[in-house]
Amino acid sequence: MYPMRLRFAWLLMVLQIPEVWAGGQVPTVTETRARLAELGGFVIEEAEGRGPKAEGPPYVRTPREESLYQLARAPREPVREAIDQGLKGGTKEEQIGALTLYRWIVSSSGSYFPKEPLNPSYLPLLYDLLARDDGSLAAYTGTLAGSLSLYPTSRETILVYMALAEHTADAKTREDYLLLASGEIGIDLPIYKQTPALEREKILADFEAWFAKNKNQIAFDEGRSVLAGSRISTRPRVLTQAERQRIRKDPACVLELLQVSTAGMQVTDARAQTLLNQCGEALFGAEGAKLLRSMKPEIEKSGTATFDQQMGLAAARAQYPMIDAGLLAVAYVAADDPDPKHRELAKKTLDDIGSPEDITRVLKGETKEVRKKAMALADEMNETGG
Amino acid sequence: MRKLHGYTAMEDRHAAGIGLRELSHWANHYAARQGSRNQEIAGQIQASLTDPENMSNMANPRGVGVIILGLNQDAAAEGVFGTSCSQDRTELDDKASAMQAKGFVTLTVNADSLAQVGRFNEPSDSGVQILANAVLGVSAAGSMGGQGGSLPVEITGFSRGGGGAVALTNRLTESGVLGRSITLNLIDPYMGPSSNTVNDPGVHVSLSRSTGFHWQSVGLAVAAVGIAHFTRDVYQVGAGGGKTRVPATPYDLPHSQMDNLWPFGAVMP
Repeated sequence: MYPMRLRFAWLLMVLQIPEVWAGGQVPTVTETRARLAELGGFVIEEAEGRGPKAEGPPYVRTPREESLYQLARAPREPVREAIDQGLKGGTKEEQIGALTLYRWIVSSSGSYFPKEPLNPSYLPLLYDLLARDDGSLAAYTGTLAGSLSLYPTSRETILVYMALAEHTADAKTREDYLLLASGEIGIDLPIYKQTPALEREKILADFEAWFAKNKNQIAFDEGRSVLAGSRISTRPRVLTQAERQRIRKDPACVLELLQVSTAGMQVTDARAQTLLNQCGEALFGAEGAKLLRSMKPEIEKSGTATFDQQMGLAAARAQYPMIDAGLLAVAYVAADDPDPKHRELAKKTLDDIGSPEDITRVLKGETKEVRKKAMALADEMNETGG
Repeated sequence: MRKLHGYTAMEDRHAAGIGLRELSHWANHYAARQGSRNQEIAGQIQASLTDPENMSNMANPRGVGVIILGLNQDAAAEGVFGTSCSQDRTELDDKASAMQAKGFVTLTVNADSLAQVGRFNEPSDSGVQILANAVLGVSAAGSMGGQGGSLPVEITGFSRGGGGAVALTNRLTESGVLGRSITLNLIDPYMGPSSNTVNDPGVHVSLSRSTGFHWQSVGLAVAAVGIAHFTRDVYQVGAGGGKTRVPATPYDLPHSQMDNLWPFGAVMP
C-alpha cells in the first residue's frame, strides 16, 4: 500500500492538475485577477510584436501560452469570478486577459479542462465596452470585437464590425473587419493573397456600397444569415403536397444534385447543369433554382456570383426547406427505386443529413408504406455496415 | 363526417404511439451509425499505423502527419498505406509518402468517417477525439516523446475534410500541443460554422481555394452554403485577440481537381 501522500501525488499526475492547484492552495479571486492582468500584458506584447521570438523545435511555451495553459486548468470557480470582476471593473490589460481566457475555455471541447458555458450577459457588456472604446489600444479593440464572434451573429454585431471598419485608419484592419462582416452575412468577397491592391480596394468599396443599400435587410436566424424582407419569413416552412410530388417525380436526381452541391460527389459541368434543370426546383425550390441558373452567365463572365445573387440564395433557403427535400428524396428512393446505385446514394445522403426528429417530422405526411421502406433502408445500412 | 369523440381520441393515441416508435427507430439508427463511424476511424488509424513505412518511423518519429481525405478519395484506395496501389493517385498521396520519407508517422482518414452522422458539415466530437488521441500517442513515442508538443504536426484536409482538420488542430492545442508546432493545410475546404475557426494564433495555416470560371465549383459552392450551412472561409484568432479571415491562395481549377496541388506550391503540370 502506498502512503497517502504518494497516492495523492499520483492522482495529481494522472489528472494533470497544474501547479497552482497541485501546490495545495486554490488561488483567490484577487490573485487570479492579477494573473489575468498579466496575461493581458503578454497578449499586448505579442500583438505589438514585442513578445519573445517563437522558435522550435523543440517548442517551448511563451509566457502568454503558459499563462493560458495554467489558467484554463485552474479551479474554475475563482477563475469565473475573476473573469467577471475583471471584465466589469478591471483595467484594459485585465479585460484583455479575461476575454482571452474566456474565449479559450468557451471554445474548448471540455476534453482537457472544463468547457465554460457562454455567459449571455457578456454580449451587451461587449457592445457597451466597444461603444466606449477610444481605439487607442489595437489589442483591446481586437479582443472585444473578436469576442463577439463567440455569440450567435446578430445584425448588431455586423453593424459593429462595419463601424470599426469605417473608423479605423489602418487599411489592413479595415479589410479584416469588412471580410469578417461579409463572411458572417454569407457573402464571399473574392480577395486572395495575390489580389492587387487596387482590385482589393474596389471589391471592399463595392461591398461597403452594397451594405449601405441593404443594411436594413440584414437579419439572422439563430446566428445564420438570412436576407430579411418584409415578406420573407426567417423560419423554413413545411413542404406542400405539390412540392412533395415534385420530389417524388425524380428523387434520385434530387439526391445526386444534393451530393454534387455539397462536395460529396463529382460530375461534369454539363451533368451538373442537367441535374439543375431536371430537379433543381425540387431541391432548391423554384426561387433557389432560378437564382442558381441565373448565376451561370455571371460566373462565366466574372468568376464569381454577385452579392445580390449570393444573398438571394440565403433568402431562398429561408423560404424553402432544402434539407427536408433531401430527406424526402431518400424515403422515396427507398420506397420506389430498386436501382442499387440510387439506393447507395440514398444511404450516403441519410448518413449526411437530418436527425431522428427531422426525418420523423418529414415522413409524417407520408404513407405507412413509404415510412416502413425508409426504415428498412436504415436497417439494411446497420446490418451491412454500408 | 366527423368521427365520434372517443374514437378520434383513440386514433390520436394510436398515431402518437406509432410516431414515438418510429422516432425511437431513427434515434437507434443514428446512434448505431455514429458508432460504426468511430469504428471506421479507428480502423483507418490502425491501417495507417501498421503501414510498414510508418512502423519503421515509429521507433523515432520526426513528426506526425494527418491527412483527411475528401471528395472522391478513400483512404483504402488512395495508396497511402505502404505499397497498396492508388486508384487515383493524387498529390495528397505523394504528400503522405514525402512525409514518411522525412521520418513522419502519417495517419490517413476519410472525411465522411469523421463527420457527424446527420450533420455532414461538422466533424463528430468522438471521431476528432479518437484521432487526437492517436496523434498524441505518436508524439509521445520515440526519443522526443513526452516533451509535450516537441514533435511537429502537419494536418492536411481536402474538401469536406477541412472541418475535421480545423477541429483536430483545436483539439490538439487544447490538449497542450503548441500551436507553433502545427501546420494546417486546407485545400478548398468545406466546413461547418463550428469548425471554421482556428483558436490558437500560433498555428501556421495555409489555405488554397478553387477559383476561376468554373460554374460548378463556384455556383454550387454558393448552393452548399445555402443548403447545408457549409462555410468556405477560414478564420483564425490572432495574437491580439481579434478574429480574422485567413487569406487564401487561389487556383484556377475546379474543386474536383484541387487535390492535385501542393498546399504551398504551384499548380502541377
